[in-house]
Amino acid sequence: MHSTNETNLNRRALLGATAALALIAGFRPVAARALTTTDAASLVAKVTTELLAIVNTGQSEAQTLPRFEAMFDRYADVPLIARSILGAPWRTASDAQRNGFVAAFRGYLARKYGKQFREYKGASVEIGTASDQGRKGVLVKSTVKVPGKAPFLVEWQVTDAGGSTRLFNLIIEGVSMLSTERAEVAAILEAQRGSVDKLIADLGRRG
Amino acid sequence: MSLAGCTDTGAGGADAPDPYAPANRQVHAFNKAVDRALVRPAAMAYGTAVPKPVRGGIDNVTANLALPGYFINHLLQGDAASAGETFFRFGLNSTFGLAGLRDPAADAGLFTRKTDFGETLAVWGVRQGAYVELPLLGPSTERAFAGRVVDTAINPVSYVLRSGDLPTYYALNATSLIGARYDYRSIVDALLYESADSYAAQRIAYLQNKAANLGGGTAAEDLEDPYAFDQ
Repeated sequence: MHSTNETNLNRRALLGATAALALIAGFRPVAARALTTTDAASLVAKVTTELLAIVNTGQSEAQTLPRFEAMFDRYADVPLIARSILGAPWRTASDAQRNGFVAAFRGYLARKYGKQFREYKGASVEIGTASDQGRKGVLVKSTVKVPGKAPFLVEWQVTDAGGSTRLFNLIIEGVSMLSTERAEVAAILEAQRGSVDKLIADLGRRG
Repeated sequence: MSLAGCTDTGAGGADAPDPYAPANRQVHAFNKAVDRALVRPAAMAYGTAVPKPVRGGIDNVTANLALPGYFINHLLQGDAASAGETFFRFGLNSTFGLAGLRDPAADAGLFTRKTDFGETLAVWGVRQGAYVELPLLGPSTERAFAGRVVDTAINPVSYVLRSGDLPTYYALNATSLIGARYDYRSIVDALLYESADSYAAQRIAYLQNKAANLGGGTAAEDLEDPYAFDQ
């Protein structure tokens, strides 16, 4: 009897351990498929190839804009970027305001950075090193060569924090899109006396 | 300006303290007014009236004359590779490039490795100090401003040129700066006139660009944490 109890206890412990292992195993595929430097570099290669294809079509700004916006949607984690940029007001915003901000911010990004990308007509991009930055993701370096100009550095921070492998930050010659746009959004919000709705309307007119 | 009085968290760093923000913002408003009234109109007139090959030639000559200063600073930083590249670039462009008018070195893949005494001070471990916006000269830091003063004093070109040629040298430099305002007009116009807070935008752009130039890219500690907002 005594020994049976002990066996039961052991069995229970074993079952518990097995369940715990199964739980861990359940998460394993995610861990095993964690972001690699190769994934990040190939994402950046795909993005830069598509970007250059768009700017080299010679289409007008109005024609290329929706294409840039679609690219931001597909390759960047816009919701993650948007809430990181809005900061504290995100927590108190309603769902409608959050969705409105993400949409307005996406359009603003596409207009502002699309205009900048259009200057890279005829450029070629060389993908450099991809370095693992732990929980900060992977940083991929690239060199953009525009004919007749000195080459310049563009860095891409790739993350899977939002569940899939996406761009989180774009750093042109050291200047971080996240820092720049966070300061912008903070300044607009201050000018609009903290109103998220007015911020959304204002962003829609910018870029 | 006393370097010992500089306060900062690190020698490089993509951010700098801004204790002079109120004064800096006044200087920024002044600089913007000067740009709007004088620099931008002059740049647009120059860029439209003077053909690109001529402007390019002036840019090449001034860029070439900046190389001896870069060379000295690369040496002071102990960067023999950059010093060597700068030396060959200067030699190639001063001879086959017709005194720098053309840029055969760039065709050979030898690009300018810009540097200054502010960067030399950084390599020597001098802290960046506070952010300052200088009248007419624009964004700077206490360290970069000290570097600027030293660069002007040690510029080899100002010792080699005859005093009669110095006004031409300074005029060429000023013309090239006006040309740069034209060449980068879309970026500068967006920064100064389309930003919600152009002072903050210029400050961030200047400091982050400086830090990346020094470190060969963004430092790991300056990268943002994508999980930060969830905590």
